[in-house]
Amino acid sequence: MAISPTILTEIISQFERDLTKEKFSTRITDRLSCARGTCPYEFKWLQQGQYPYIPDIVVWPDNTEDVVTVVKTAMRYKVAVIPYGGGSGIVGGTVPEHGGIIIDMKRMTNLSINDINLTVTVGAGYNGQHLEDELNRQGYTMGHLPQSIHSATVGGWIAPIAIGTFSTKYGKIDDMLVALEVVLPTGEVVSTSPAPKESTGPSLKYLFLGSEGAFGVITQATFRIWPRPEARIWEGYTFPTTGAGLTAVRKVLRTGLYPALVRLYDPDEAAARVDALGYEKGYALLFMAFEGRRDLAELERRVADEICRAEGGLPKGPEPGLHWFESRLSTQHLVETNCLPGGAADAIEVSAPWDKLEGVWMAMRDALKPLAQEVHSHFSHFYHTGGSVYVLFYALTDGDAQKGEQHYLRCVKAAIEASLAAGGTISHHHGIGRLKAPWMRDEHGVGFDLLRKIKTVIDPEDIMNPGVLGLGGNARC
Amino acid sequence: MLKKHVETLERCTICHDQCAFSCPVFVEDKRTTVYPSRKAQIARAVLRGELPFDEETTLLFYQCTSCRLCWRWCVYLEDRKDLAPTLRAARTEAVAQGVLLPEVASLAGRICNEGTPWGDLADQYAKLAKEAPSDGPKNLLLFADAATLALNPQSFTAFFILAETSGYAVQLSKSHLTGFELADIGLKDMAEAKRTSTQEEITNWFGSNDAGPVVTLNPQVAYALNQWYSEEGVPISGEVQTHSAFLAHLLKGGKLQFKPSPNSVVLQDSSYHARYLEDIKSPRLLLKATFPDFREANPSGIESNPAAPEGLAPELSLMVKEGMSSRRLRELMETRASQIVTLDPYTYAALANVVGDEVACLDIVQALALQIKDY
Repeated sequence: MAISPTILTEIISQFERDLTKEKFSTRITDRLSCARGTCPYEFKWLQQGQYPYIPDIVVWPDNTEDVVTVVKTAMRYKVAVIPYGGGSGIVGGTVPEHGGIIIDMKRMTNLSINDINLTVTVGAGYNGQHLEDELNRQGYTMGHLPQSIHSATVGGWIAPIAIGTFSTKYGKIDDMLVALEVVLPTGEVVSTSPAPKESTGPSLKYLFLGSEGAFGVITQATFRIWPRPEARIWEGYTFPTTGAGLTAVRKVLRTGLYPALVRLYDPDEAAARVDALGYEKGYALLFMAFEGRRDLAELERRVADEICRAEGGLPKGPEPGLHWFESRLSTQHLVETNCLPGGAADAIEVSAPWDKLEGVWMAMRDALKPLAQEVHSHFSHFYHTGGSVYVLFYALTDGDAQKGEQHYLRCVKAAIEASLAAGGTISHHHGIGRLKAPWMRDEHGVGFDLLRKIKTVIDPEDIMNPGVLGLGGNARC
Repeated sequence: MLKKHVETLERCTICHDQCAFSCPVFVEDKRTTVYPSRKAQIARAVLRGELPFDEETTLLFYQCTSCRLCWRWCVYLEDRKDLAPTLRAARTEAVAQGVLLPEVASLAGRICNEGTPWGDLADQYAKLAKEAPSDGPKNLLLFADAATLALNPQSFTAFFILAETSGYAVQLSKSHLTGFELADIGLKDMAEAKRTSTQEEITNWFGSNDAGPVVTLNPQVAYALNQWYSEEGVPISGEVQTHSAFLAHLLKGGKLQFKPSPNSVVLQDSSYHARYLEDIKSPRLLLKATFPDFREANPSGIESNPAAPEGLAPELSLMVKEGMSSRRLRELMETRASQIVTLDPYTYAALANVVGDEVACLDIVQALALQIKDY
């Protein structure tokens, strides 16, 4: 427990006065449950016995005023506050290194749809799948369908600038976000404009996008939404090389097509699916989904088909896409590996411009191959100017969980440093958390000093998720 | 007890929570604490001696409806993990270690004094036993389970009509409990005694010369008798059928005919029917044959968002935050169907309690009995 017993007693008295008893807890079951996310090193800590970092208090606000109360109290007593969404983060973004207060946001579930503006305004704690279900019931989609949709929350999407699998048409969370409400460490509430674009100085919205709880608590957001599409059409191809697949995708995007989803798997990662579906062994696999009005989606499919065939793609129809869709949420191989005490597995996602993308993929793969039994890669988000590469490693040591943790950190270091050396970033959409914080200076250079100064101005007492992003706390930067 | 479940606890703790959104306890409560993975994490910590078996940890083990949606959405596609029996084992072990929550003690007391979780049902049983059709070329044994006797006795009457029309005489079972309801509330001996007597009654039935099928109106009973008894080493010698499986068989064989209803209908699945017995077809076959305007109300492609903590006695239901039935009713009513059809007594009672006058709520046997051709 990081808060002294005297201060803890005072905070509890304060919460008893300003919140109801049902809105906070010091029970061990509640504190342990919010002590972790799903970063592999958090799994390794679970395997090593008593959990090392536990918050002192968990709070469940159901409105912005409750959050203001919590933050003001934390400020008064100078204790750490960590906003906690679905607990789906995989980079150690919510590790309560300093104990303190976890704000479990999942009771912040207000929701209103504006059909004229085509927006939804939603509480930061809304579960992703529940939001999409509710939008679907009312005839809309947000088009944000990340693999973590069953547990992640709206606030947890904004905090690390997340992305969904259907990003090529619907965009990333930063494209979808229209407006934000944030509680600052002072307890003041900032609300940004719901206008579609402004020319009013630096965008405050972008200050909080990606801030991972270091600058305040995101309490509500407004997103653009779409009428639920009439059609979803799948099309897939095998390619003799990953490079040929990348060229095909680049040309599809140059033509001005925006398939809802584009996924290209290198031969290593495609192998199981290629095998299951009886395709050419050793080939890369590409599939796309086209969504919207049926006639427009069909036209897009046809033009993309011409391009893919011209680049050597062997058409497979809707089968590979549908096959992926059925199992898209399973992370079986990752969790199976991490379940073994000496096992270490993760998916490291970075991005690069088109002219560096293939080089980044090869550099990361080469860096990980000596460290892991299996290394797979896929490219699942593409843009006009480049794309992201996802490198998955599955490593087995014969040691205990501590060895597994050490080996995991070695693998992450190798992958990230290879990406940086080849011109890639350190993260594409999982965020920084504490796991990737040591490379923030390499990523941003002088810009990192600027981020530190911003943190000092917004959060002078360093109460907001100290240590995340390498800002404040015991940051390892 | 809990030790046997160590693999599930490990797998469910070290997991990406793809089942979290589906857990009806989480949907109402919204604390991370009640995520399936966190219940596993706490049970695992207790098993490892990192946390004690006490009222705080034990309460969490009762906050499960056994709906098996976490199994449905498990990331281990090739070997889905089922947390419900693991939590049942945690509850059993907690009781064995002397941790008896007040609600559990109260329930156990009533069962000891009155025979069932719903009190003394002898009069209800006697009344229905008189109503049961006694003449027919064929016989069937209808399991007179306590939950259905208490929560929806009219469904017995409806079933009698369906059985009689198909030429069956109906005998009601003397057993009202399977023992499954008692194992994790401190009544281990009584659970074993019930299991023995029920197994004996059904085995004798199947062994008799003119034995017909054994049917239940409560899918949890079918699960307990067919699967749980086998797991406990006391298998029964035949298969106990759910109402829907039995009636669907009659329909397919032309032994039962319905007149099409102009009403629109939406089905509320039973967790035990859909996910434990893995039968989503039978009720749909019956309803589609009878109600041409058949509708589904299942977001996320889930076969059934539960409407009630199915299988739980009143005191244990209270440990699950209220709201399931109202939330599910809203989804069902969005289909604008004029009738909601349920498959188990718990769900029927929960929905009937909140449904109001806008729409009718009937158990499947009631909905079908009203549509028997030429009856």
